[in-house]
Amino acid sequence: MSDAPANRSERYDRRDPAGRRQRNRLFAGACVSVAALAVCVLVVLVASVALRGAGRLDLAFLTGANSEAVAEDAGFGPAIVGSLCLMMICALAAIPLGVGTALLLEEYAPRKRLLRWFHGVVQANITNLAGVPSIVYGILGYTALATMFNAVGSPDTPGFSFGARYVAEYRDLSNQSVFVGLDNAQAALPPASAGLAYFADADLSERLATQVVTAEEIDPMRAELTGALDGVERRFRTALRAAQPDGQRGPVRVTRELAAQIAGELFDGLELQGDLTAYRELAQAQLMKMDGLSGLDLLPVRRALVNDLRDMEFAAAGARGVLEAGAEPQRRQVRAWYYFQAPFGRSVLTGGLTLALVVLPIVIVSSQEAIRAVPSSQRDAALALGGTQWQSIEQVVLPTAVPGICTGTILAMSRAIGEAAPILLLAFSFIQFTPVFREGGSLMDAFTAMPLQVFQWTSNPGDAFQSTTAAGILVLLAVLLSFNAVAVFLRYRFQGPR
Amino acid sequence: MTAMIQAPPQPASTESCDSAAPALPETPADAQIEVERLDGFYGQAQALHGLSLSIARNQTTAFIGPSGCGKSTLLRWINRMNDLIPAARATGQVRIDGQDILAHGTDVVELRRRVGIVFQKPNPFPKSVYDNVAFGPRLHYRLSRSETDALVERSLRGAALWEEVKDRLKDSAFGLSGGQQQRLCIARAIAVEPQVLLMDEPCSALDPKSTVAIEDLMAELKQRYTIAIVTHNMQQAARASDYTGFLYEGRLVEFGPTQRVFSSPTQTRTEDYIAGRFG
Amino acid sequence: MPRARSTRLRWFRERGILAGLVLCGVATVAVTGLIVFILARETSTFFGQALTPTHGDPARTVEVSLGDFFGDLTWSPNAPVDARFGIWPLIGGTLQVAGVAMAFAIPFGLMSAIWLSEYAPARVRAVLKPVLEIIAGVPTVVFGFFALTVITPALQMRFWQVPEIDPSTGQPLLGADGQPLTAPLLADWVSGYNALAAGLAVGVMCLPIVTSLTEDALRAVPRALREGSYGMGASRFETATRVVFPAALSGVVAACLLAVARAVGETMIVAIAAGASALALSDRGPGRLLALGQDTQTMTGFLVQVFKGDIAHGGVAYQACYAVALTLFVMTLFLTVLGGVIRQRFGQRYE
Repeated sequence: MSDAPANRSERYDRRDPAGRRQRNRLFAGACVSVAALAVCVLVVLVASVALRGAGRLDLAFLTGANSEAVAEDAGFGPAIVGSLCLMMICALAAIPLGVGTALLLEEYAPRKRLLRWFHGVVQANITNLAGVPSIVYGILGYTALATMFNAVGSPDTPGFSFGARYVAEYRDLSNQSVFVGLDNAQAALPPASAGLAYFADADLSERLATQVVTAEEIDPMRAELTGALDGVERRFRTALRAAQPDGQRGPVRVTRELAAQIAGELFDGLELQGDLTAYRELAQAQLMKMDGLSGLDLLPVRRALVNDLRDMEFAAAGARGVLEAGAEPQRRQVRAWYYFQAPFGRSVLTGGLTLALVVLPIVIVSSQEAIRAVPSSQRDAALALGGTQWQSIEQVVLPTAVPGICTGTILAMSRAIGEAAPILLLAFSFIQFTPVFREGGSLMDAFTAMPLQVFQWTSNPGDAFQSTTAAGILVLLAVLLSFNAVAVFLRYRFQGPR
Repeated sequence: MTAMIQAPPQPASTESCDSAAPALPETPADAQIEVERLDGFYGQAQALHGLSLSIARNQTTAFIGPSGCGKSTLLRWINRMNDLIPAARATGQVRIDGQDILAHGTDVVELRRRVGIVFQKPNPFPKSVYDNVAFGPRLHYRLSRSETDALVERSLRGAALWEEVKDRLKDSAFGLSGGQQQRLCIARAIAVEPQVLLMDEPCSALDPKSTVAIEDLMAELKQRYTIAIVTHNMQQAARASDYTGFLYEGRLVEFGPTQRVFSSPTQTRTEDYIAGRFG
Repeated sequence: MPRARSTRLRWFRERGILAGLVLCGVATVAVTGLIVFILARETSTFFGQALTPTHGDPARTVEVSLGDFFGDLTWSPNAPVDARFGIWPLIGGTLQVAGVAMAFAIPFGLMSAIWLSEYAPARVRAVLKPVLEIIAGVPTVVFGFFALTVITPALQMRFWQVPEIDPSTGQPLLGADGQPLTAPLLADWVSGYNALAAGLAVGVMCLPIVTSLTEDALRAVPRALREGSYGMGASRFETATRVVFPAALSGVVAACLLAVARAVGETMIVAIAAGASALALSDRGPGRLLALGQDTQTMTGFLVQVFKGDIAHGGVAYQACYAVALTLFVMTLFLTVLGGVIRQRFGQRYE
């Protein structure tokens, strides 16, 4: 066997070395182009979005509320605040749960068979959770958190709540709400016939303590006001007729001087609560609009003038709260900032917790990796000095693992901030208010979020919302990039050469 | 100096007795590999300092020395395995049959076909025994089924493994014992018919019985291959090699016929090392 | 002599902490349990019950059986009469999108992973890895927008407008302003919403997943194997494809399965870019699957359609979404479990 010549191999058919080299180069070239393609996709994506959206990116967009109909008016404010609130809750829920589970899996290796089985189940379960489509989490959040299986009341009539006060709500003439405080949800509503008044510029707490005005007091007030304004209208007509040459019915010629003269006469001898100069200016402006009009055309202008004057008078008198007699009051909830209820409803809290479940596997796995990276010799050293398991974790493992845990958690949060599917069922993309950070806001507020708003805009037919959508995406990407930047910084800061 | 050269405890093989010459010259007469003023660096750190030596054709040359003395680095430059380490570079010359393989433009693929290497830890591929051995030949040659079969059998016989694995050629190589795995790696290396076989501490991860088997194998292999072996085991160097080089802190302290180096070293450091005073 | 800490207190604290951690573990398991419970409970109220139709006369209730669900080839939950609930069109739509996505992501992902792990200089890798991470972190609504506003126009070749011809008269169609109407060159083959663009966007989204998981698997292959291969005179290409890649195969397959699971479960991209009409499988059968340029609906797409309020709550279509979600859940669970099993069974452990 062994006596063959050393260069025996030469009798085999050699593969062409040049061909092999070339195949190697070809493959490397193909790979480079693929990798370059990935970078190109990112560049095209960012460029296409930036080109479309940069024009819309201004302060009004960042702070304004959404508009369903007019793309130019649509703002991103509630969505930005909503997303940040979701992040807070998500982090607060996911970090302890995730790190706790990771510690259990990595640091408490069980010896008993039952516990070992439990360990295996938890570990396998995490892998499976990571694969569950995020929209399924939405169903989970809706059923288990928003409605709680309808086991404790419904979201609208919660079985458990605190931090809410109840008020009776009335409507005044201009259809604004007037509140009267109630002792509790069950307290009887004050009868509507009693009527209410409030002061337009008083703040909410004062309004809630408004005195109750009786019907007897209201009627004279209203009569006086209506009478006064009727008088104005009558005088207006007379003054105008007088201004027309020869009592003709043709078009009126209203000069600046004439308008000033009529406006002055209008309020002659009247006692009104407001500043007469302001009334005169208003009347003068309306009169100027009548220039060249005649007959029926005059009517709308005149009506507008009367309405304007009535509004001014109402506001000035502080009597806007005069109520329609007989309007039934509604019971309304006024929530403190710490308001809490037991079926969470479709609220910020539900959204945040649902997102926490979505990113939980990411937090767990990255924490596990960070914990595993702590050399076991360090643990052994802590235990050998007589430390308990928890002391070794607290003093040795966690301090070393924290940067890694933070990096993973931030990446998980950036995943959460971009998720739209799980909160689709929980959010209200049309809300106009800023959730949580508003008067009467709480964690139980309805919310919208950046990706959801973007989704809602993309579903609008036509191209009207394209630049708005792109601007929203730019904001979203900016937030994400800053998250990523922090994570990358942390990684390089703490995982560099040690 | 006059004693018998056959250091290895003789196996049944008789062929290796033929090379029993009275004494080897200080410098090999027929050098296949000539290393000249070789400086090796890892980044800023210099691992080899101006090494010059010759490796004799169809002989076994052993390199000994304490850990970190550069003996593995030297070996890995001979077939440019160090190319895989981004920070590694070398100056000087390593000539194989007169051709400087450190020169720019050397076809490393062709070089490594001619200069095989066996590593410290057995590293079979996660494939069958058969596919492990056939891996190299398939890279370089277009082989028919029967040619491959013959080549695999010949290589496994050459590595003294055939009898043990002939019934499990299709089984995973990971099922073999450590010693068998290492012999499989040798079979794999000789399957491409190299001219030189480099062995980087081939027995350090093995039990004594497997070590003996591999040393026996080396004695047989040197009939056809030039062998360079790195070892930290001086007995092994004494038993299995014809020439020995002692490296210390990246410098070649002493080089010569094994018998001479071990019996009458010229340098005190070599003597101290051989006597076990350090390292 | 400093006073020793109370050992009993310590013992209680240790126990308490362990109990808390076990509770965390139980909570994670409970999440899966709850998902299964909710989906199963709600699905059971979908089958074999008399439910109000989504549209049309509420008195004419609809009843769906398990046989209909898996036996029918038509999905028309909103039809006023004869609403049909065969899941196959939705599964077909999901397969279309996931198929396109994988056809893009797997070859490209594997190649870039091999390149990153075997070829790329450290400095390039240090740049490319974060880029991949950023792509992986881009929200899927953004990819959806990308599909709708960049990929679809590109597929339609929208930059190349041709006049529209009235098929009956052969005359060019005129708009309200008297100008001839134009349409993108390929508008007949690629509609505004289509499976192809959505699939490509999902593929782009999956690319970093495939790449980074595969690269992890490749890098887990010990150096020694690479050295063994190079030592025998293999080129980089040969080492990568014949030694490293096969050695990492189980991890690679698991990575691909995970990407498939992601593509199957991907929601927002398909909701934005794929349209909302389920495949008409009963029309032309499975061949319909190849009409990638037309709009389609996936399982997740249907869920979005229901959840964003296009379909009234409480009706039969609303209940149907739980059955669809359960099907989706089972599919992705199967894929993840399969991936795990492959990694466990065929994964090579190197010390």
